[in-house]
Amino acid sequence: MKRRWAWLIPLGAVALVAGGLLRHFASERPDGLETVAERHGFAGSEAKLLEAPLADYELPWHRTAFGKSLVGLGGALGAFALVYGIGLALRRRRDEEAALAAPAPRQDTETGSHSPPSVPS
Amino acid sequence: MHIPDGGFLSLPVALATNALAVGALAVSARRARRELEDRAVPLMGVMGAFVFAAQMINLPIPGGTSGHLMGGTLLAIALGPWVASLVMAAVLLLQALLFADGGLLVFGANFLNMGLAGTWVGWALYRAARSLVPGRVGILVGAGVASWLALMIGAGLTGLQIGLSGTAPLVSVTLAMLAVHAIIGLIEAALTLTVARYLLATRPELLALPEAATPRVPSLHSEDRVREHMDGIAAGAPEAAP
Repeated sequence: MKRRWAWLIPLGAVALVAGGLLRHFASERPDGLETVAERHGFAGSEAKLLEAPLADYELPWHRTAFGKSLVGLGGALGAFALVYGIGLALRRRRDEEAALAAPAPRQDTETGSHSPPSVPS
Repeated sequence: MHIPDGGFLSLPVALATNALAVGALAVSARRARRELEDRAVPLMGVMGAFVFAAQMINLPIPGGTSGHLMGGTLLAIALGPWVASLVMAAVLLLQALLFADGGLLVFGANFLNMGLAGTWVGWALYRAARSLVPGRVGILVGAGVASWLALMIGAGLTGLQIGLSGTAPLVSVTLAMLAVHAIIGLIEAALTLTVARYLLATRPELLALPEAATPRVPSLHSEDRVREHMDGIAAGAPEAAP
């Protein structure tokens, strides 16, 4: 088990280091779209539909480097949890469907190549 | 490339793109759960975190602007396009709801540009490149070129939506978006290529195309296959002392 997922650790570590640390070195310049908006004179016209609690990836009550690191780290962890949860939900729905379609238990769950499991229609 | 709420897109464009996005998400959810491998779920989570974090890191580019990884092609290569667009939707929603990065009313437009064009264009080009150039080179060159072009298509669509909204002249704003993102796309290509190389080195079978699954060339990655075999044995038998 440990070895099966070991290859994911570097990717996850990069995400955490990026969120917690590297973000302090990120460029403060406007991004591509903001630059185009400035040159075409429609920048700064954005209106807020809702007040996002962590705007600009900062703690609004603690605008420090530490706060930024915390939000970056927490954001990466939160994104992991959210997407992992979506994956689990998809898998559960699929297994429910498979159980309805074919009463025999699935045996091939661990053998995967990229090919989708053949569900008899 | 995240469009903010208000000022950039007109209401009709925002509504139309949202309608398209909702439809595409419904189809994606259906297809994704059919094609999702059990063992891809942890990879999904890690890739989601990776793309989220990478999108916070703007790198400076010439001309006083900056850009960050979009990651659509990367997600599609690692997870397939259906799952990839769902992951991108989750990341975009998180950004809009909590971090004011991209608007909520224009979620549909952002999803169209990054979650659909970003993933599907990248996926299609990546596959085309792989069938043209076999093996490792096809994968790596394909990943680089596809991710650059996918970002360009997304940038062009963003420009079109702004033009159609009447915010700025359509041709001029679309060309400007393409020009800026031609350079930002180099960041996209470099990072996509780097991660594709990592995946190729650690999990070559992850990048195998569906139709290439039949006779696998044993020479290239035989080491990894042996390791997998050993893992299988280890899983079945009590672990030997190291």
